Amino acid sequence: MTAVVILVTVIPIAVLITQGAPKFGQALSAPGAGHALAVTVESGSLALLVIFILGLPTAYYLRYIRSPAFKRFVAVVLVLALLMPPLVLGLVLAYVLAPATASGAILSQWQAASNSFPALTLAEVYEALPYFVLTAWSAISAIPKAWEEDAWALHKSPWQTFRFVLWPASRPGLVTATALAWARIVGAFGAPVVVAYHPTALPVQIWITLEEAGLPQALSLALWLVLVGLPLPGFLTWRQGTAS
Amino acid sequence: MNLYAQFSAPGFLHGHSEWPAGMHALMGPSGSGKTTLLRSLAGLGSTLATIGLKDSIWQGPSHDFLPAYLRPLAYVPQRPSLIPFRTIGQQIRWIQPDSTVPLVTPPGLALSDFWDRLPHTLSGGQQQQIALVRALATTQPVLLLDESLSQVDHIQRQRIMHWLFETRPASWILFSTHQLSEALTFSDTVTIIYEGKVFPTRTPEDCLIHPDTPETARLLGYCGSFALDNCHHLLIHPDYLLIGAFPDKGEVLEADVTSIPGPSPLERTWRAVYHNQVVQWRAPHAARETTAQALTLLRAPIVSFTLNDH
Repeated sequence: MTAVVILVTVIPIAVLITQGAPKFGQALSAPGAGHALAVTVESGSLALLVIFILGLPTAYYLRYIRSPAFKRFVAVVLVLALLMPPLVLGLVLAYVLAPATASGAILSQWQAASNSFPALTLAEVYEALPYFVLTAWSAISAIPKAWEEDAWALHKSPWQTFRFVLWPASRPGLVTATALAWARIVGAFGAPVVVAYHPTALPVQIWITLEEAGLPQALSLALWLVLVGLPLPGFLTWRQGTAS
Repeated sequence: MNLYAQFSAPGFLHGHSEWPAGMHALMGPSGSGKTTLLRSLAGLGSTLATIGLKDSIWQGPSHDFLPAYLRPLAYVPQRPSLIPFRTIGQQIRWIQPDSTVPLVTPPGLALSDFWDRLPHTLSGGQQQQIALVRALATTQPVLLLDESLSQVDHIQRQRIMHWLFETRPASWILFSTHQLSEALTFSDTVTIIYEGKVFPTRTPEDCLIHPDTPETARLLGYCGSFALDNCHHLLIHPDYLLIGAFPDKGEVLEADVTSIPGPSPLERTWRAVYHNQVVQWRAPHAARETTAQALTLLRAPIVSFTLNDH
């Protein structure tokens, strides 16, 4: 059974490498492809930064929430956001960012609310934030409360305790959360295709390539996407596997 | 100039206690509330109690709750409390960054043997001793030890307790234990806790002479009582009696005393009958006689409750 599972999971990777590799080098020279790769890395980095700024304090804050009802509420909201079909998310974002709405109007003052770099980044944030928060929250919550109390009862402030105990203890979980978020950001298609067809990021560019140049070219570009998005989670999983 | 705590409903603990500077034992059976009391003092427990040290009130009905890390104390729990992913040296240097300040270590513990090791490579008893060193490194005036040496072997534990008692590395040392001899030997006062009730703090001697209730009398080692009349009962303590009549040593009680070996190879089970009342106890084989017609009581408190119904 395990062999079947491994075979089934390996097939896509194998096909991608064997079929994508021959034209791998040329894939980026196609019109728009190189630009799409740059847009993906730039908007993705910015999206990841936004996710850190929003998600890290949230994940730590949720550790200290005592009300089980509030915790459940937050968990349900995050899971719903996580499981929301990306296309639906894109439609909702498009509606919110439309020039007719207040948020769209405010954003338009500065830059186009849709089909813009901020819109793309926002779409990526929406797709990846729940992954990050849920993973980071569960990692941080798994740290025993007693570790903190023991430090407080040795005359150490919460900030000193955070730096010496909590942060190092939560780092492996945060790295996993980051890897998941990055893979999700880089692969974001459903929401960007609605709100940010331009500037075109790699997933949308692959779709365009498929439409215009055919499957082989699209597969080559897809290999690029996988190379950008997956080494980090792959490496981390490998390292965690050897650690345990 | 005391450390004090007042517990009231609806908390589990109730009662009031006060500890002057010194070394103090908290004694009670498992589950009686010793940990609850120490955690409250440390600022990790109930917010209902009123707790303070000298003029500073740490918590109370009309006072803000002073968080654990602002209280001038170090608390060592019974469970393993070393940070699992930091070496012993890192943890101690975290508490006391100034390496010119000499570390206070109990006898029989070579800290350098453990300095670069992670906690999981140490035995439970070694971890507990390191946790004590780490707490002492805080140099706080109040040290709370919650059965903190429970996994340390008996001889080394006695050594450390004796060292704490003699050198007083902290102004206030409160330790919880369910071992009677430890509580009576290494303390200036004993606070008995039974089912959440905190009894007044008293000297070990005073505690022994005036047990408050049947429960505290049993905790203090009394094994039974003989009724003198309806409201006066003579408490019997196996460590404060002689087999036979020795009028110059204490009060002689004409009782029919017999003994049989066991249950352990080190003990005999003794049985004294006085006016049809029976008291049984265990004692080492040291007695010269194995039967006698009298008991000499070296210490015989007369109280208003009986111990024989339990």
